[in-house]
Amino acid sequence: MRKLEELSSQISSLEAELDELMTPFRRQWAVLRAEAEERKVPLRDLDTLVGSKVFPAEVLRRLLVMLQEIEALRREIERQ
Amino acid sequence: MVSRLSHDAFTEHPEALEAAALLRRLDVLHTQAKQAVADVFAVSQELGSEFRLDARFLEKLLEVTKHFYSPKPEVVQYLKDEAQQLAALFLREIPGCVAVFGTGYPFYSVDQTGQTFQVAEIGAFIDVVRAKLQMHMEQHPQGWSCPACQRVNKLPNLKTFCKPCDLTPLKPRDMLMAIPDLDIEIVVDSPSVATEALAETIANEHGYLQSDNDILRALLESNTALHAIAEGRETNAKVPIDLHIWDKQAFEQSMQLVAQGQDTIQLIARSLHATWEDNPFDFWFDFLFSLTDVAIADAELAQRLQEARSAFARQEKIEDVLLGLSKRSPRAERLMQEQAIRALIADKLARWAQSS
Repeated sequence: MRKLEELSSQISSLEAELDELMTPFRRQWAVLRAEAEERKVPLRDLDTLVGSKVFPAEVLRRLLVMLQEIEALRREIERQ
Repeated sequence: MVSRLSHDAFTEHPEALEAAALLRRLDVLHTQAKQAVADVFAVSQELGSEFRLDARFLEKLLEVTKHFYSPKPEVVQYLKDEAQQLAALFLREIPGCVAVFGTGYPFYSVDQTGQTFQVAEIGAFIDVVRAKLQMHMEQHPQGWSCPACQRVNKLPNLKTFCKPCDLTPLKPRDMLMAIPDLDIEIVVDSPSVATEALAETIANEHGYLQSDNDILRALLESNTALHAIAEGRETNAKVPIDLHIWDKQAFEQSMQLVAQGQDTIQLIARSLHATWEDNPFDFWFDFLFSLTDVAIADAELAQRLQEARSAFARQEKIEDVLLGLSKRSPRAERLMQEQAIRALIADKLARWAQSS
């Protein structure tokens, strides 16, 4: 069974990763949404989407896996 | 008193205090991650909202699905014909393919003469899915976005990726498990990656699709097929298939183990979900519950299969087998509570015991 410090460090990694993942994502899509609104086109028709760096697919996949990792950590801590 | 006890516990066991603090941090992280999923999903929806499915479509699909499962010999015949058609293709076109079997519905609910019966467990499951759809519509009256999410996000595995997502009570696999599909096992002598690619290509070329790959297409195709069947019309639309490749040697060894009285036999198959994956089969259960010959091209294999069935049925008491099957899983227990299923398996075992 792993020590609590190790589990704590793993939670810290996940917290940092969530922040690194979501901060640029939220910023970029807020900018794109504002641009779409200004140009009065749906978000999906925005030609600048092509140059976007953070697409939802990879982010969503990582988040869904992260939720599983959080649950696994919870079970491990509860077993301690 | 309670707080005093808790306080003492924490004082005596500081690690308990630390663990509690970690759990609180995890709660916060979990909430933030769920909010992040909702934010990302909102973007996904904006990028692919044209794929949102209307609840009335899903309601009608579940209705026609329930109708499909009502005990009609022509419906069972349709599935058996589809299985025969696939078997002919695989036996002809896959090198080393020696046999094709069917498992699951309808194979556990059809007798020798093609007579069938209503399986209460299936009706109950559809009702649960209907209730989830109702709950979904109360939360999201604008429609069901899971097919759009899968397409926009190119999610490859619904079991892994949709499980932790709690944006809707109606998961794609609820719908896909409610609608009928065909479970087909292909037995191949020394299968390889090429066998998998060939089996998938052959199935897809003839219009048979695995459901996990594209929820929207699976539901639309099934809807067309099920309505045509309900109305007695001809259709090229197909219900989804679940393809599994069994190694001939492993299959024969597993059969022998059943005949020798072993009841914990795991046969690792290659199964086509979104991609080909290793998939452990509870062989003892499948062998007895629903494994049905669709086509066997290898006379020796057919002979060994018959011998294994006969040897098993002669040495085991029918009541013990029925009890063993029902203990396999909660779903198996529910199915085995149905008298018609028990009678069908008992008849089958009696026939096996009489064969030589």
